[in-house]
Amino acid sequence: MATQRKQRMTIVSFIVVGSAIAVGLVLFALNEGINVFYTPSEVAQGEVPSGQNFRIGGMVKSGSLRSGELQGTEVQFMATDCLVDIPVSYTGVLPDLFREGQGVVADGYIDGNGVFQASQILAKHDENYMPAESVAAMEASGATCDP
Amino acid sequence: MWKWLYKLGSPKWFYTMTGQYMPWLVGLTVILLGVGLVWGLAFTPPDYQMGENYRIAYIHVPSASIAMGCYYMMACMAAAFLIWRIKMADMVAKACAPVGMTFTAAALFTGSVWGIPTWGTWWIWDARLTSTLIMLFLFIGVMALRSAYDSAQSGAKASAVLTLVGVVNVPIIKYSVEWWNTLHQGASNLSLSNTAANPPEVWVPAFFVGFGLLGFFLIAIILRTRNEILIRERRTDWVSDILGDARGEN
Repeated sequence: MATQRKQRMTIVSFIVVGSAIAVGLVLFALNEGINVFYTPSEVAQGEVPSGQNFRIGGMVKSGSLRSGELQGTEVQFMATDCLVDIPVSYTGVLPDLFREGQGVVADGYIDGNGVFQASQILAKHDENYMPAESVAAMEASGATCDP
Repeated sequence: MWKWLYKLGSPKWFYTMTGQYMPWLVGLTVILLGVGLVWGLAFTPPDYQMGENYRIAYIHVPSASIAMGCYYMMACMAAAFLIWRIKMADMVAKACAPVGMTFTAAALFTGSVWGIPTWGTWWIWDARLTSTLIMLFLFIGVMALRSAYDSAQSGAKASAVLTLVGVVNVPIIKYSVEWWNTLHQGASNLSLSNTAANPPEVWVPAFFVGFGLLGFFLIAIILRTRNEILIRERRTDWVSDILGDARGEN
């Protein structure tokens, strides 16, 4: 009886460990593909597949957002990871959370002039939730750049 | 300790004990949920960027945590059933699947509702969202597999094995935001200071809602398990005694 139980325990551990290893290997093999965006540094280093759409993710560089002087709903800004800046151009409606100093994920391609032509802009929210009143304190501490 | 665990393995003892503590559990759950929801949804100050719509996190985060906890619980029960053939463990595992599925669906739904205004999309195939969707399918698959067998014993074994195969997905959900680039944000560092990000006035209500939903989760699991006990033990004397009145009329 005890040996039978031990045997079943071995089988159960084998199922759990075996499937964990299998899934781990699959995820390891897929590693790059699972990332939902490339950072500007990765784009600069040419790690991005050329000739197809991809997503870049970074922060909207403070002071880089231009919209008023452009046509219609076009906006231009710099996506940065604090190491490399990539110019982004987009025409359309922006999500509520899109603003300078905030995370952004853009889907599109890089044109001949090195400008990222975005067909979709998503705002990435960070993990910080704060009451509006205490934001002044955060701004004083200057905690904004997070690659 | 072992004696207590041994007792928990007895359907009759489980049925009687949970019957005794149920009113307390219900009362505590109502208080926790009431305080947490009113506090979180009405009294915490609005977020500096998202305004009021961040409040959906008070439902979203606890739902997701409980769904993941539920999967771990179901996996422990599956292992206990496979190794020691404890019938009670299988009954609890059976109760876990639909409840865990509902909490996972709630987490996905509230996340999408929050995502539309905040991200600009209700869905993206990033690692966090995709692994959570896989957990939803695992809960559904475990239920479907169990009911696909004519023999209850075979269904229980097969669904227990599937549960154990899928358990590796839960740590993947947890660490997906650290291992890969995702649109979903990482885990928040809860702060005790009122000036830093995530101060207590933001997260304490979430704990009330979280423990309230945990209470609701336990109530749902216990009620489902009690029903399962009555169905499986219907030919025993003690169940006949409990259902005596209802049956006497037939």
